[in-house]
Amino acid sequence: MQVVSLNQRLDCTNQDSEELSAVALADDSCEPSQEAAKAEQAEQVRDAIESLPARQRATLVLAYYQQLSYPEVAKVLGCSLGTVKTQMYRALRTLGQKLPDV
Amino acid sequence: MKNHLTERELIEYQFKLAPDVRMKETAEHLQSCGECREHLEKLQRKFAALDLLREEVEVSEDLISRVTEQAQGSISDSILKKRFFAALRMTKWAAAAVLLVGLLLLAAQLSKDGTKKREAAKGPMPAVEMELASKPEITSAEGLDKDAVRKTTLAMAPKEKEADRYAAFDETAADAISEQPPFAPASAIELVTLPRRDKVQLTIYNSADLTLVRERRNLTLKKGWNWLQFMWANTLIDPTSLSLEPLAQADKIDIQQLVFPARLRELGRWLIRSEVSGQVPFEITYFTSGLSWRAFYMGTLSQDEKMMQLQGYVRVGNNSGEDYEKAQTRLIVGKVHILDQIAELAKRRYPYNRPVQFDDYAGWGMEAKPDDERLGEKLSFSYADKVLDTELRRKEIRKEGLSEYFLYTIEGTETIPDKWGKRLLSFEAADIEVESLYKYDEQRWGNQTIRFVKFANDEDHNLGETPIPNGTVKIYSQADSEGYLSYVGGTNIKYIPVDEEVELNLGPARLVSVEPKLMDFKTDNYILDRKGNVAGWDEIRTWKIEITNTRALPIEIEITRGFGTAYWTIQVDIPYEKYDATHARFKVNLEPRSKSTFEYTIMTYHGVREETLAEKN
Repeated sequence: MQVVSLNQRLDCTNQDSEELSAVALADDSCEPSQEAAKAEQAEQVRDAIESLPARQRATLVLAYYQQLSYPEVAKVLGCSLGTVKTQMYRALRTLGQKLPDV
Repeated sequence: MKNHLTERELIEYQFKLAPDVRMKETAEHLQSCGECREHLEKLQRKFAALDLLREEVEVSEDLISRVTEQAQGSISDSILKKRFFAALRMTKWAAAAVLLVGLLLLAAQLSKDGTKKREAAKGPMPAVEMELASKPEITSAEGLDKDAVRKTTLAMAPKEKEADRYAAFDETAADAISEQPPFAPASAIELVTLPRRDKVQLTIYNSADLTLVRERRNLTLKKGWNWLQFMWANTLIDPTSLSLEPLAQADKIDIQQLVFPARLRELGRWLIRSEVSGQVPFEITYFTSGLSWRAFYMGTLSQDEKMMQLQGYVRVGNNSGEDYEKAQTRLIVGKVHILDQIAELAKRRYPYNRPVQFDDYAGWGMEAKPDDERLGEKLSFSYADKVLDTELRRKEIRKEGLSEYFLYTIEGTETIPDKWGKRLLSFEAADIEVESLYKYDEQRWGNQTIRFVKFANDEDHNLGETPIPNGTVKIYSQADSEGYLSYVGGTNIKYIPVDEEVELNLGPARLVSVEPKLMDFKTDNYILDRKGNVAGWDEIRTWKIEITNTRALPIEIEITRGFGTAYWTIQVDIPYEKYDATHARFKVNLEPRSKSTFEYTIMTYHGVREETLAEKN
């Protein structure tokens, strides 16, 4: 139940994790239409990321979602810092083309 | 002023990809250029969508530990641990990608084979398949068992508190198993690679489109609570029939429950409590539909048509959606009663729903409850490792009785990929004495003469070891001494028990004909009642039957004549048999290329004359 309500809140506001931890249970959930739109958008993002080549995807996940620094990502992936940045840029460029303009 | 910033420069600035000097330059430019600021804000809004995938998904400490260990010893554990465990909010796909990365490295570490590494990096693959691809012992060339692994994944149960998570790195801390089972696996990413199936046995119950699959896999368990995930997407597996048993350490492994998580389709998870860690052999059993077998036969008559060679074949087909590699295959002859159609069960949206009726499967004729227990008793499972001496040697099909069923076991193992079929020789018998017989019965076959081949499924006919299952038979005849064959006819046979006679109907005979002619008809013996009305009479018919045999072989023909009443008497010069109340049967032998005729006079009694006949008898 808690997880569900947190996710709802997340979908509505895009707030970060620190703020989320303070959200009360299921009080201010989104409108169904908004939820549906968010879900659709999330699906688009998911598809876009899944379409990335493995190395770019891994770089993006580690650097953006896991919040590792670029040198740390380079260590994990066993490559140079330059390669990480190149992969990251390519991933973002591709996502920029695939994600809808807001 | 410098030209406007490119998108690349903006992205590099936003995500701090550019060197410090360029970052500073870009920042300065942005301060003075409203257009570029607007462009940057637009990009920021676009990339904000990435946050939509942030969810509360925990990352397995075990996975991270393994990934980091395997990746390289040089990575500071502290950095990774700190960062990984701090990042509690991670998307599901992101988790899978982390796994992917780890396995990439794992593959690189374990095997210097660059090809595998490239394969593993090919693209968006399901996490489990990814793991497989990175397994050194599994190559894509062996790939039939893509299923094997697609099917089963092992997910480690989560620890309740974060402190416990760190404790998992400590061997001693892991000794204590929490009494409370976890509600669910923390994340689908906590996967332990499973090897492919060790062994698999298929028992195909043809009559009910039902196959019992028993497979053995070595699962790697962790001490504590383990989740084993089983997926059956795109297969016809009956999820309600799933069963899991440890084949070793049974006293230390407790399989607690099988759950079908809400919202997750076509997968089930077993909760396993293990007091041991390491590899344990398990047996997974379930029913599936889509596997079938059918028997068919080829008979070759000798030139004089007195002997026949009979070959029985079995064709095993697989439309179950699943590849079965090197499976010991057993075929059941006999009818099995089951309640639900397995194919329907497999198509349930959720395994616990009521089965849905599908028109496609209407009329399969399945009647009663599956007798699982009985089947279980009778099909004691053992992996007889009958490896063939040579691929060239023909496989034998061993047969044995199972009460009302009959079991055919195909020697060795068979690989039956999905959508494939295989034909195997079931038996071969030579010198079976047969009788060729022609029959003529207007009420059954019109004015055609039908050819039969008759033999018995017994020792005298070099058969009789086993019942002969339903199937189609094609009969050929040796046309000349050089062994050229000509097609004689074909038919479907029903199950032939041992010691039973069988007549194969080979269809109309063109070279043998029967022509009945009514030669005379009259009525007689009228009886009138008191009012002068006819109350009874006799009808007297004389028939001439002409038989023509244009074959080069002598024949025997059986002619059945019906009279439409049970009150009749007959006058005939040749022997006849009263077949039933209203029919008489004549047997005539004809020489090659000859004609024969016989006549009979049939007197039928009607009305009160029937009583007269009854009194006579």
